[in-house]
Amino acid sequence: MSTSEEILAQGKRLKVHFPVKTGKILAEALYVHAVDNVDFYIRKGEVVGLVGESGCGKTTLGRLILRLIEPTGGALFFETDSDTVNRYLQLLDDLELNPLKSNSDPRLQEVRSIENKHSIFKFGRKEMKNYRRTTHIVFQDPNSSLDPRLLIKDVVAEPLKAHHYGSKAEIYERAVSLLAACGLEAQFVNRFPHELSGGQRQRVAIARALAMSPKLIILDEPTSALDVSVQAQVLNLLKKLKKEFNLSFLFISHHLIVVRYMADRIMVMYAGEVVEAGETEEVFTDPLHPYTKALLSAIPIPDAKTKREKIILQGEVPNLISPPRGCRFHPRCPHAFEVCGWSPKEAGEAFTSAITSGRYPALNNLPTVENAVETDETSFEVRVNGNIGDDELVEIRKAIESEISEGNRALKAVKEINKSNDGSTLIVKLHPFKVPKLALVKGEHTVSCHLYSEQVTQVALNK
Amino acid sequence: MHLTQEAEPNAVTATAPTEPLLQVNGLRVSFITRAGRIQAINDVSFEVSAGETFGLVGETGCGKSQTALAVMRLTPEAGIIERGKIQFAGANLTDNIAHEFKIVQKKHGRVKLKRNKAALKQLGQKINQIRGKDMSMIFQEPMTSLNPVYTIGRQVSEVLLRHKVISLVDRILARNAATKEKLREITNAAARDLSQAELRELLQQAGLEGLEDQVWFALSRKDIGATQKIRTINNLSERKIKPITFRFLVRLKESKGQIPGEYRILNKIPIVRRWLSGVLEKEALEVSYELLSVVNMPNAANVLTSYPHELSGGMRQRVMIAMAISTKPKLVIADEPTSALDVTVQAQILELLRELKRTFNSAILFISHDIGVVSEICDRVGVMYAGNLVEVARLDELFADAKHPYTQGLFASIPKYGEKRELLQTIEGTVPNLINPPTGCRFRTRCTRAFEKCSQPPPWLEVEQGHGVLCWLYGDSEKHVNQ
Repeated sequence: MSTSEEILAQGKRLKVHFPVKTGKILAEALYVHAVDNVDFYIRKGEVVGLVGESGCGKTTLGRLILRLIEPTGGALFFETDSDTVNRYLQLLDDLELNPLKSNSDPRLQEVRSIENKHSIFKFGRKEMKNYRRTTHIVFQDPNSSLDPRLLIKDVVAEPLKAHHYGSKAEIYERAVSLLAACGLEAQFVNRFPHELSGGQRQRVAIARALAMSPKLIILDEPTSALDVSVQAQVLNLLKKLKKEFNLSFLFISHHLIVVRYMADRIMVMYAGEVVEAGETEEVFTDPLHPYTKALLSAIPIPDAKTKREKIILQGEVPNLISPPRGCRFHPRCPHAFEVCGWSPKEAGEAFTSAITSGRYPALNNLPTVENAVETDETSFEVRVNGNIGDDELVEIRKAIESEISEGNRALKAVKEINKSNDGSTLIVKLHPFKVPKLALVKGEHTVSCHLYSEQVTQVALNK
Repeated sequence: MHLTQEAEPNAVTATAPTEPLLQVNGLRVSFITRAGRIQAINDVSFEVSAGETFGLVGETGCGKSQTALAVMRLTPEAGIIERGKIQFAGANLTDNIAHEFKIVQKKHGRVKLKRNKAALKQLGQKINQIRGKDMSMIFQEPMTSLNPVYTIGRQVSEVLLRHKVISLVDRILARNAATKEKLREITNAAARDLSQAELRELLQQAGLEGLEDQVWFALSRKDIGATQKIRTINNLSERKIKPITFRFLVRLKESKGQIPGEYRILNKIPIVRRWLSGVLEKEALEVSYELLSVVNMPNAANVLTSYPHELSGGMRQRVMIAMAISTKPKLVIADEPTSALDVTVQAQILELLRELKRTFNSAILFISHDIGVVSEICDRVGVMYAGNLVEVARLDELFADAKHPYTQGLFASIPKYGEKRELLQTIEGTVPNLINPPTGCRFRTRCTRAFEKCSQPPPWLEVEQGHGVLCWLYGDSEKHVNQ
């Protein structure tokens, strides 16, 4: 991270968990972990791209920055002086290394007092109103984000009225000049949104966002609903306005080519977490996280000659009510290994299907096995309808080893296979897992993956 | 197998040089609305050969989806095919368009559309033999095109029960005729790698043609080992049917899938009807399972009993594709099949389409607004603007040497991958209103290179072999005026 004095907004350990209604009174409370432990920062005059698949939490993060959604945890600083933020980060790191002993710990008290004073999430009504002058949002679909019963000029005048910008004449004068800056001439100001085309409507939404001369604008898929030729017009407009008004953008999009064109820095999200962040060109030319690699390789490039090797991911985005443990990407990751977080359930299913697949002739006479049962966090048992001898155990171990060498990733987590004394149960122990953390690789390029933390990898391989 | 013959690669390539699979000539589709007549498609002509992927690109409202719907004869209520010819696999789908509707003039210059029910019924009977069987469609939004109240298994089976009754009967009868010895011969042969054609030959010799799909499916499964594959194939011979069912199925096959005369009265008794159709429904479900596995559906057996809302977008699209390929159609029309999906899922689906094209050798009419996606999958591309097909070329040629000013503008307005430019090039203005489109070339109001001649309808000009453009800028224009 470079000097924090130019940093405009900074979020730390942001969390949003949405409760799930199950309809049962005494059921365990379930939460969708939409955003989990996300850190970010945006400098003045910078465009930060936020990319990821649908449902990965990028829109939630965008709305959280505006506090349109209440956070479950974390702190958000906006134009806070760097000393305070640094002290806060220092305290958090300290708390992580030396956990709390009691609730009256002075460090905790200091953290609380900084949060109460500076974090957007602790602001009261008045302070929030001030904050809302400095940030604004442009939504994806201009059809639904503009009031159909307001004239275009009224749409733009609304935020000005809400913040008591000035007299009526002043407000409308500004609204018209903003619309002109966004490429809508005077003939449009007295029209209704439905009389405009999609691109023109998006211009109105942008003009509205500019109304109170904000410092940060969240662009939530601003061009996804538009055609390519119109998209080019809107992107050009955004670039022009950024220069003219010295704005910062958080550019949320799933359209990676557009993000590469617009953003100075990008963050890649997967299943509620940031898996990689860095300068746009660096991430695009040298992606580190296996997910980023797959995502970038999947971009359809409009060119008949460039044909790249595609990494086709298997499976689906995980359910965020109970996200995979360890690294959330490991069930789909082609490089996942021992410590990535294989659960006894995943390894158990792979184990039973491997030994009953019929691929190993030595195991053909094995008595039938039941489904694997999880015994604790790192082990499972498989009951056998019969007895397992020592020879068969050796054969099973061999089979599992050859499965691993053939690329059955879930079985990599298997540490040792034993049988119970009477031979009726197989007891399988797994390697312990670790949760990856965003770590600096070089410059500003951070990645959250075990493949890039030497220590963890070594420990895993030595076992 | 009875109906697979048509999809055989040999059969298709034999007819390819003589006549394209789909021929659209001078198609004009209009919509009659209160505001006036919208000229949605104006003189569109193109061809799709067997086994080829033809892409249609263009912006919203340019008529690409309407072209596809017209080919399927699914133009919505207010729309009419005014003129043109759609020829598909030897059948003329537009031979009766002059009688299908009548435009009635009303007061104050209003017009009203009157449809000829008899002619439309005739069309329905004809098109129902083709639509869904030889020609099928994958829609953009699978959530709205799957029925939310029926299970996936039932919806996939429906296509089979409608179009593939005989092949279902063949499957059951062949399984009934199979003996352990015959199957052992096949599994022995399968020990060395067999191609599908070799397997077909082998089964024909044994008189078990109907088993082809089942055996091939068992052999191509990746989740089980060789021993279990052989066990699965051998087990096929153990599934016998009762003599009474056998008699019914033989008669059903003889009467070409229609309920045979002597069963018609029986078929009116609910319990008997359930039994008669149950035999086929069970088999259709089994084929559905195989189809879902072919499209790489995770956990296919469970998906059969799921409802559409329980599946993710990518899985729903796989169901749509499974339905579209279930009859091994000659032409699959894919209308923005990946636009509602994420890039990684999109890559999966495109890979799947490419693989299916290889196995079934179907032609694909691929419609998309995303030039990137089109460049991934298409052999030839047509560019549409405001109801006109403005340019058709081979994919590489279109990218290397786009001729029409609109195509050039469209390409320039996409950010280039990895290229940082200060500003993007744009096409000024907006798509024209199609009730009163500009006279002559419809692009001339936005075209930077427009000149006097553009107010007259531009000629279709072959600038090179297989590269056509609808523009006044190219070639000796005088000559084309005379044509």
